[in-house]
Amino acid sequence: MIWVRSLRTRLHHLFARGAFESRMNEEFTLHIELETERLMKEEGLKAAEARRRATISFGGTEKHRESVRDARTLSWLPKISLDLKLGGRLLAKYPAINVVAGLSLAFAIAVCATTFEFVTQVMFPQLPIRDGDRVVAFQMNVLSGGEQAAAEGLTQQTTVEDFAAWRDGLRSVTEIGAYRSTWASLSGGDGTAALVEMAEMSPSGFELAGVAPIHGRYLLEEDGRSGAPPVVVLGHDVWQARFSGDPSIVGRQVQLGEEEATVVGVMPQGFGFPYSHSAWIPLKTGELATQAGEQVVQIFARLSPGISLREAQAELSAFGVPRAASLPGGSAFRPEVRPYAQAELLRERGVGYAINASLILFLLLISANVSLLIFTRLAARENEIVVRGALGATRQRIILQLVAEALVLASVAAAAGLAAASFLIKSGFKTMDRLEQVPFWLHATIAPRTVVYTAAMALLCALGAGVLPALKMTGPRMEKALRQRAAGGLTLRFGRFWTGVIVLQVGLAVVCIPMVVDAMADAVEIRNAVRRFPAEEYLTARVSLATTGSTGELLITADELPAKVDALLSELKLRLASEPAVIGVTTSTAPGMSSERRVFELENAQPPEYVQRVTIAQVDDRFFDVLQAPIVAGRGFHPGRAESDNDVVVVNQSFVQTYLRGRNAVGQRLRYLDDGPGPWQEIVGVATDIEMSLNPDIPGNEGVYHPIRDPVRITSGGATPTLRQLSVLTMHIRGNAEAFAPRLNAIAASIDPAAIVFGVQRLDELQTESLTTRIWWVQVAAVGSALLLLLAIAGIYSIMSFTVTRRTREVGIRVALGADRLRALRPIFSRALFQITLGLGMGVIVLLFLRDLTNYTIRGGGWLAGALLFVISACLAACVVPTRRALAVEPTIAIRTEG
Amino acid sequence: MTPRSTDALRGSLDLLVLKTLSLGRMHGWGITQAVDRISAGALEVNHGSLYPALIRLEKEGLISSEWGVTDNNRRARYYWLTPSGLDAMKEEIERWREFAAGLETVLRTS
Repeated sequence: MIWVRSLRTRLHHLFARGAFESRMNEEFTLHIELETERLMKEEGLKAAEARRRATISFGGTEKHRESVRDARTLSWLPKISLDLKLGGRLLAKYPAINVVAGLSLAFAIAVCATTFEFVTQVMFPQLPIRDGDRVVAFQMNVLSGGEQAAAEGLTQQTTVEDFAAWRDGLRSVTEIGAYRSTWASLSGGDGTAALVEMAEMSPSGFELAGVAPIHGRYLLEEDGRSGAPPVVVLGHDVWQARFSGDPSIVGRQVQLGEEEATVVGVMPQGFGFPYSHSAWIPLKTGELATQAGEQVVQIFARLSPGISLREAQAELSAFGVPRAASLPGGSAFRPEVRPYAQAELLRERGVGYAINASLILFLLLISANVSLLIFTRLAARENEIVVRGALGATRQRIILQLVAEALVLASVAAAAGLAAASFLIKSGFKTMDRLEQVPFWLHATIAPRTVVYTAAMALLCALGAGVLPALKMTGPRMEKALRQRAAGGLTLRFGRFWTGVIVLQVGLAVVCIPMVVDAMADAVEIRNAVRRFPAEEYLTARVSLATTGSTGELLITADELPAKVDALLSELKLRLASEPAVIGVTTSTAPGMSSERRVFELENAQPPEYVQRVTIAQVDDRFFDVLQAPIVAGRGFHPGRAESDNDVVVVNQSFVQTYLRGRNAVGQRLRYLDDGPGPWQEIVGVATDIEMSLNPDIPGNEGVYHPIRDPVRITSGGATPTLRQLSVLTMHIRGNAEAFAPRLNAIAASIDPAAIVFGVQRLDELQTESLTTRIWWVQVAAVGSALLLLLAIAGIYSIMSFTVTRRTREVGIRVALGADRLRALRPIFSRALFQITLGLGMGVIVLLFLRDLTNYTIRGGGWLAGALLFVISACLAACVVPTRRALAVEPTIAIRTEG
Repeated sequence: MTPRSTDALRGSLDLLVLKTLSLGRMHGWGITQAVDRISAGALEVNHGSLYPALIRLEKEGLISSEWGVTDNNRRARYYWLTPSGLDAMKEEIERWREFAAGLETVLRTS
């Protein structure tokens, strides 16, 4: 077949290049020899003359060679490879410019790739389970009559009753299942206990996931029946971390909360269905179905074959919520079915597209800035390019060459950017995982589509950075340039466009750097604040109790929970206080990192001119001693919840200085005004200052302490209430604070086996972790701003340097004619100054505009002035070297300089 | 007859090559000699221009080639027409004849 033959020939031409060249040479040689012999024979010419005539009749050999090469498949490929090789050599030839340009592009590409990976994972989640795209979740919307529903005792979330009704009634979904999350203390192979997040899940969840365990089995229907022995399936990470990956784990008894359960299986790595769970216990359906709507569960299912999401929604809407059928009209419980992994944040896909589009614009902006550097690099090769054009190279060919050179730079930058993106994603996920659970279908790796995206970004950068300079260098001006070069005149100019690019660079640096300096100063303050206090000597933890057993039965009701946790804490503090390693133990809300602020007023004080706010915290009687903030006036709080501590507060020294101007605070009264005037609270003591909050957005350190009342607050109803852990247990430890953690777990377990100790970490880690995300973004922004400034400096330096070189002859003539050197340089220098000044002005205007628009406040004019001075100095420094070079010009040498 | 300019010939070089190869296997020099001989010297192919045309026709699958040995024992690249090349040649001849006829009609008009 013709196409097979054609394909074979094309592939041969493409890959057997050496053989092809050899063939071509051999054919040409034979042709000329045969023609020579013919001429000698037929026309009686001598050998030399015949050969000459044969060569002439053959035509230009080199020209025909080129024609033959052009006729080959992908003939442009060798040309491009030459251009790419040249581009590689140019990287070494101009290291400074290429490093600045490369770093800037790499940073921009890293930001784009990281965001793209994250946004696409969230926007287009792929559940790594069988037919993941057809798995759906159910949620409840209450459109009206919510109060009535609550009054009737009907919870407004999906419940076990809903699960039972839909499982039996719906046909548009299959493998319907339910789960709820719970935490329990799991004792590992070494006997130590640690908290694990478990899913009480119906066995249909495993059937839906379709992922086989690596050991044993998953949960079955009989495991959830009343009277069945307690069983548990372990996740891979827990199995590895707690049981050292023991292959004989199946069948072993483990302590789960206060009960023993048998391990029946281990799931493979990466499996965390339904969210990010580490272990699974049965969700009892028989008993749960009879309980009157008290147990909230999350419900999931798979769409039946051939059924769309819309059809499933239609059936569900028609089926309704049977348990709410008794409510009179006016209350509308609307169940909704949606794709399982759909994130609320990016439910509107336009958000994700907008994020990516804005970052592409940012990348193009950086590319435009880099194009200035490439243009100055090209300017030094003006001769070469003009002559190439004169020798017949088309404009397209030259542009292609210059874009190929930019592509080499962009490719190196893309490789570095991809590596940086991989690091950013891993560290970002690590941060997210510490702050909140990351769903199991998100992964900290770069997908192939992101690699393709990065390659596309590299191409975009190459086009953005290479095409414009190439267009400027070629075209109608090339002929004019050739004539001017012949006449010994100047050719290339940096016109208004490049002036605009420089101004933009300087302006961006002026906008970004003060903000970043401001944020970095905050980050430094945070770290210094943490370091001022020996927070590493303190261990913090939160304590709670398991509300359900390992078989899913209810252990503690919502009403009982706060009192039981309180009792546990009291006993725990008593036991800890008697430990030799413990210097002191206290409970408080967020030690040193409170963000609760309230508006207040002082009794008998002049009405303030501004709204007075203060940071508040709840502490127990031991807080001031344990946290080394002793009472310096009056008294602290009494042990327990003494009546004498009703409506009393303790303030810190900063409060006294700021609001009482150093007057005696004891006996004064204050009240809060946030929700209307509250009751008066008497100040009974003044404590030494310690950090109230590390949040740099909170000005000042004025603080008010209240006696702690509720260690645990219930924030949502149902039998599995959501707890808001208010109190943090803080222990001052002798020696290594972290080493005390196992002892803490053991003491808690000995008081109550259902005790859950979690969030155990050093106080300094807890404090900095709360601002980890902020610090992380500050670091990224700092790198970006530094690169922006570098780009501006490099751009100014390049233009100055080029202009000095081009005008050396002019400077030499002026000096030879008696002009002062500095005056001779003024025209060159004044242009750079003009660009810098314009950029500064533009940047300051934008900064002030942003401040008004977003209420962003820069800390003090000093910081802004300092940042501006830094930018000015940096830009002026870029002019120093070229200026010194110009000042060193000898007139006699300069006059002889071409151009 | 003096050799004609090759401007018009360049556009029909491919057709000449296909037609010549339809007469038998030849190497490149042989093709130029055959064209010269058959046209009685009326058509003269620029020798060097032949080879890009041969490469192009081979890439399109209209001709094939392989190394062979000449009568005087020299290594040469021999070309021959493929079945697809034969069909293409016939189509091209038909097109050329239509063009020539149309041109003739215009030229006859006074």
